[in-house]
Amino acid sequence: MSRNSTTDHFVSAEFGPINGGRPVYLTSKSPSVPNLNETFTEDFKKRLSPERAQSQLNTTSVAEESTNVSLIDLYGGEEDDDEELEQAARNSDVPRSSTNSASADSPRRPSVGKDLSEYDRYGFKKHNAHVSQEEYHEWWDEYSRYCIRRKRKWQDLLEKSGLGSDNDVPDRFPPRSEKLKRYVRKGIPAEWRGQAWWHFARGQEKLNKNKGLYDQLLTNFNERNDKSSGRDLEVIERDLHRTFPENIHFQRQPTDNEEPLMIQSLRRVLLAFSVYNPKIGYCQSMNFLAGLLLLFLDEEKTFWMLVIITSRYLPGVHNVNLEGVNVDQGVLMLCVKEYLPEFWHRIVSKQQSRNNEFLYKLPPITLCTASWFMSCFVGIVPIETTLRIWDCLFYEESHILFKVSLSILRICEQELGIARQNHRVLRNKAPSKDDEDIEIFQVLQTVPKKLLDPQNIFDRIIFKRRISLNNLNQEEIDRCRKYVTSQRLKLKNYADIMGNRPSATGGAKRDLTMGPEFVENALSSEVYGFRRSLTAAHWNNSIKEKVRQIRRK
Amino acid sequence: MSSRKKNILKVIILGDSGVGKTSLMHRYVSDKFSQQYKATIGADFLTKEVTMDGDKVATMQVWDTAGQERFQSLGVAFYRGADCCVLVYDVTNAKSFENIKSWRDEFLVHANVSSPDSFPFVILGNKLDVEESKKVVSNRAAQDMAKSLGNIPLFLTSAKGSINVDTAFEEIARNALQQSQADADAFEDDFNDAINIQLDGEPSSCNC
Repeated sequence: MSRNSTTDHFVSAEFGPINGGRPVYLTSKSPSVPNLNETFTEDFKKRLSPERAQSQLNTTSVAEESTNVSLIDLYGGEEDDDEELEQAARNSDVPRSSTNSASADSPRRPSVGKDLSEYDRYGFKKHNAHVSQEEYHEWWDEYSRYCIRRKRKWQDLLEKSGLGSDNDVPDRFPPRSEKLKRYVRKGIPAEWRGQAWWHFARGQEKLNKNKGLYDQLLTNFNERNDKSSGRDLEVIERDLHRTFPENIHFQRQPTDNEEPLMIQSLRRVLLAFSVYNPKIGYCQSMNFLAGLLLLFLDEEKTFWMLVIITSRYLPGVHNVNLEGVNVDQGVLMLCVKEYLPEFWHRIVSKQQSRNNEFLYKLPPITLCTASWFMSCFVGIVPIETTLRIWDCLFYEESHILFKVSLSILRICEQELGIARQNHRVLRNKAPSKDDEDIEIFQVLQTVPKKLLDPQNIFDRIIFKRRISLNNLNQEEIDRCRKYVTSQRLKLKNYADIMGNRPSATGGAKRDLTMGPEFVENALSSEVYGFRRSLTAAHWNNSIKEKVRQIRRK
Repeated sequence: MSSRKKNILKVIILGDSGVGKTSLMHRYVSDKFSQQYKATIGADFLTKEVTMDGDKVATMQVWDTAGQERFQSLGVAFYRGADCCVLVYDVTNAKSFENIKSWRDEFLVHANVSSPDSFPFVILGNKLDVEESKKVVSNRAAQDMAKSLGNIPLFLTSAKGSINVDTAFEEIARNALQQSQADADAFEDDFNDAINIQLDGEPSSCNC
């Protein structure tokens, strides 16, 4: 887009007000909020910088208290509904924090006047507009037990692999195997997630090759006061407080003298990244990725994980022209066409469906689904579900994002069916096209937010045996990405040659004269073929059924 | 008169990141304000039933978009078929005000509206509630700009303080309705003409 930005007088003139007049110095690295385990306090102290550690030592009592409160949630799930316990927690922390003002720089201290029982073990608010308190508790009662069971299994696995350790968090994991994949799919124990993600994404490899670079980037940034990234700075600054406003670690408390450590860390990670990769700079949605990582990993590791996500798993997705998003949405649309044919016909007209025009002029629903990919479902689905998706993402790579998307769309499809039925009953006629379009968007926006229970998409759809989705592996997605990329490029080149030269800013999409013949001319009849097996023919068709059919014939 | 009754009004809110697009939408649709909105990625939308001139009922579909420049390329598909475009700036942010014109131009390029000169825009200067000393866009400058862009209606609003938001959206609804009717009539003319039928593969433009 060609917005005329005359001068970037941002650093001096505009940065001040945004940040309350304080200049930004990127000096000390602050700790991330530690893994949520019993050894938290020690762990926490270790990670603190020396000065902070000193002041922290004197004031850990409150922090401990708050950790214990969140721990009750995790390994005492059964007691979660215990009124007395919650009352006790409330009573114990309110007076403490108000008398102990020195604790002001602890990121995990209970906030004044806040009822900690309303926050989950990561500091997120448990219930919201989409999930009621009752729903949450009913689900958590069950799911917390599941988590405990799974953790025991993991402990057994590690012990059998000779990796058991006295420390609660393992520093090594068994080699890749079908069994380990299954374990990951069923969820990594919450307090091991940071380590596990780092391990499976081969973060250490990346870090070892670039030792000291993160600090260097921050130092350079301070020295240069880089004006070219002024634009990014401004957007980053605005997004810091719009990342996890409902998370206690990202909230500024009334007693705070300075902003929460999490916010400071988030700023540094995003700024360092914008300098590290100018092709991307800062793209909204990366704040969600970095924000979630910071809850599980320290700052430097968060930075490298962000590098890995944006290059290995989501190539080009956050680039300035967002071409990677368009490619991935094209791939997703091909998948919908293949795996959810009924839904497909609701979102794309027959005409557009015949040729590949939809790869170029993406259907409007991709506006919704694009954000699923850009933020890897952070903020799209409830947190425990997000984390399960991330477990698989780092072990199995990006095809999992397509599988999850298809599963969600499948649930949406069911909801739409119900809505359609209701409409018929209530109004005694089929809904109009306009009504249906609205309905689709509404369902796409609300259904994911209600997916409190990860099992709804994991056990019941994605990893259900004997369904075709199993064929949609990383190889298939990589092949599909290449195909969509080349198709989009061809259409763009053809548009250029035909003199419908789109302006540099809007990409080829602004070409408005492109009709079906145009597309056909450009692409002849190249159609993408999914690799099929017997089971791939239809969703939910088991091998047995298929064989039965063949026999009958 | 039109036989094609379209009862859905599509309104698109554009403007720089952080000017308050999401807040305005929520204030108007559900009369709520929160400090806790997240940055919008892609787009969000809400609907609201509106009644105009006593008897005309329509569903207003309000689209809230991402403000960062690069997201523009994603929005193309849904700009089409819009009945009114709301341009928002932040009275404490001069750049967001300067960018109003570019947002309008971008919209016109992508939306493919039938007659760009008469397409309805409404400008909102948001965050009116902040203290005077922080305001950097003068009312005068805003009026001049609105006038120069073709007498676009201008409202100074506060989503937080619920100032002028309903009034502004009433105007938006009226404009959108007019535009939608004009479009429907034009569609019919085109159709009766039977020479220049160019539906442009847009299924939502036909409701027969």
